[in-house]
Amino acid sequence: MREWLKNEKTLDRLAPFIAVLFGLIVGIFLVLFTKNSPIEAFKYLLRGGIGLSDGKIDNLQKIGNLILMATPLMLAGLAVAFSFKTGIFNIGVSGQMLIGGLAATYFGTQFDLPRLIHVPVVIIAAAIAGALWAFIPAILKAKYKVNEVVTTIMMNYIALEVVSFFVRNLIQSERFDTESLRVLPSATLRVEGMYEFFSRSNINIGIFIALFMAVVYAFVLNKTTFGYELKAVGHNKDASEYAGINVNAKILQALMISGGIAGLAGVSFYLGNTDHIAIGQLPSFGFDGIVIALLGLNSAIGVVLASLLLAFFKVGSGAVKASLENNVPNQLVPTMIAVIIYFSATSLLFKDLIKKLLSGTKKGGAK
Amino acid sequence: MGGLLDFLYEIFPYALAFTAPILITAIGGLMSERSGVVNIGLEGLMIVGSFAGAFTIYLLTKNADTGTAVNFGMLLFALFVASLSGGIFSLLHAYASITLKANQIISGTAINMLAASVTLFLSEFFTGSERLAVVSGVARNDVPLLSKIPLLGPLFFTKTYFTTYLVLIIVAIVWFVLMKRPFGLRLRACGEYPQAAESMGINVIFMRYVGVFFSGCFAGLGGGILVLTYNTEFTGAVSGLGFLALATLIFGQWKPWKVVGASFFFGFMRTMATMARVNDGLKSLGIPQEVYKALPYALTLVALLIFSKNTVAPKALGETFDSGKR
Repeated sequence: MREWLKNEKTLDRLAPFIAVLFGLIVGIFLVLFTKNSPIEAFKYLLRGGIGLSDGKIDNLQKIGNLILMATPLMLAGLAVAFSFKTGIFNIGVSGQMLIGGLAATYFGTQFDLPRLIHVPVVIIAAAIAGALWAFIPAILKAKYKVNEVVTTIMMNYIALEVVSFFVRNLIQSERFDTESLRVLPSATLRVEGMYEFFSRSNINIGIFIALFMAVVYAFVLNKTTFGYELKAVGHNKDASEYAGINVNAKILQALMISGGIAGLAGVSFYLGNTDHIAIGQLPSFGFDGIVIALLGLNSAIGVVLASLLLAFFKVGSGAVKASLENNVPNQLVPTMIAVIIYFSATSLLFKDLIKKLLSGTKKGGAK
Repeated sequence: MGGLLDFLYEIFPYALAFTAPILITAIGGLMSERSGVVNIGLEGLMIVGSFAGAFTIYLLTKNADTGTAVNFGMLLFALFVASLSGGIFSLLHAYASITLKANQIISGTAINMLAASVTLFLSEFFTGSERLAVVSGVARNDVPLLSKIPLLGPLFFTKTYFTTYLVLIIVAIVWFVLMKRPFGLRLRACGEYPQAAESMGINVIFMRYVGVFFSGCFAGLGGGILVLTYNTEFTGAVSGLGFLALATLIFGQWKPWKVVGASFFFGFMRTMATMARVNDGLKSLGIPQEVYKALPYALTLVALLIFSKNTVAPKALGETFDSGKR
């Protein structure tokens, strides 16, 4: 047991669980702070999150909503994780989502196509738009060595204005100045059958896109030369260069692919979770995506599980607020998620702590 | 020509008001980044300041008669609390990124998320609402005598907030301490060659804590100024001003006076964006408001491209300090 715990890999895998544990502890503390019972809160979290009441699940609507929420989270998480694998920090997933969503909304409102053509068109448009939006930071990074963190942040805020301009001038809704037209029924990702099966939840084919991308992600990174080269660049640029890998090309491709996945998150959100795009709102999914990539340790399965966990918290929190005796502020779950990311960032502390506790003798005396 | 001057007279006081929170936050960022720590948590620290400022005024006026105005002392106190709250909150970033050697970008992101959610949580918990209006904030006044100077008076000294001058005074002090005093040299050394700085007996860890703490204080003050001047309501967001301050810092090449110029230019652009919808002269130009708003970010990208040949950023920016590394 001790040897198992001392292993560096085990500690790495343990880190996300510790971060989530800290998030939960803070959550419990906050619930107590509002003079409520944490056990009650957890009961309502289960009821709101997966529809569990009195030990059984009555209808599938809550599960549908959970998956609905998890869909853009999963894609955003994959987008961030993909960039991490190549040693890039794509903090511009939110902006790429916006541009992908804008493209999808444009094609979804301005063209009247048969359903079987329209849906693929909006999905592909979103992916291409997201990838193109990532092109500027990508070329700046690959060719001119400009730090991608700053450029992708700038691109987020430029994206907000681009969306505002196009929505106001091309696809503005007649009823609301700050919203686009609703997408045509032929372009929406929602399907009647899923809506019925999950007792009127807006769950949509976006989840199949997300799961498909997770499989592709794992396949490309683990089974192809391209993926191997990307990871090599992520580990050590100089060694990769020496081994004959075109590092700049790989960085450009990785960031654009990450942007493309972010674009898919955009289409899944704006044409699935909602049916229009709004002005002046930077989606928070890009930042949740960072949490998910960290918790999922950049693996496909990890990202899928982490996005389900975050979605569970987010969807369940409504019932917690509505049902507890004393009012719990809306921000309970976002605070927990923020705590989780803080502790994921500082996981090194726990690793050292565990190592010290296990080794008994004090290490690091020589400074 | 008279039209243009009238237009400038109209727009300048607003542009100055917009500049103040951006400038002080960017100067905060400068303190942190010159010491070697990237701080993309400026947005969050501003949010903390805006909550602390609004909440202080709320507490001070809660039991008072509705007629009593918020006095100058209360405003100063609220700004002080805003500043201190930002400073204390920033220690979370300092602890993670300096002591625990965490990734500074992730830590900064955590600060942004944590600030937004915690302040909204507290606001709803204590006041029952996620929005917290400030009964009455800083008044706009003409500066005596100075406002009578032809040309300059109407541009710089009419309808101004005293906070704008407070910010300028702080910037002058920061410039003096950072660029002209040994302390500033030491702090900057930690951002350029921390190992060399340590070998000269400078406590790199401490200096970086100081840098981050002041970035928190100044960003908190920026948020406080924002909520007590033209925003007048805490909403759990500062509409990207923290990131705009980050852009300002980069556009100003991490140098105090260039940051002053950059922040005025960006503040001016923000004002133009607001005015583009209402001012007849700007309407006739036909440039959409989005262009003015996006321009600062786009120009920062261009600036980064131009500077990329010979980097102007602090050399050790973003690197964790490892005493043993040479």
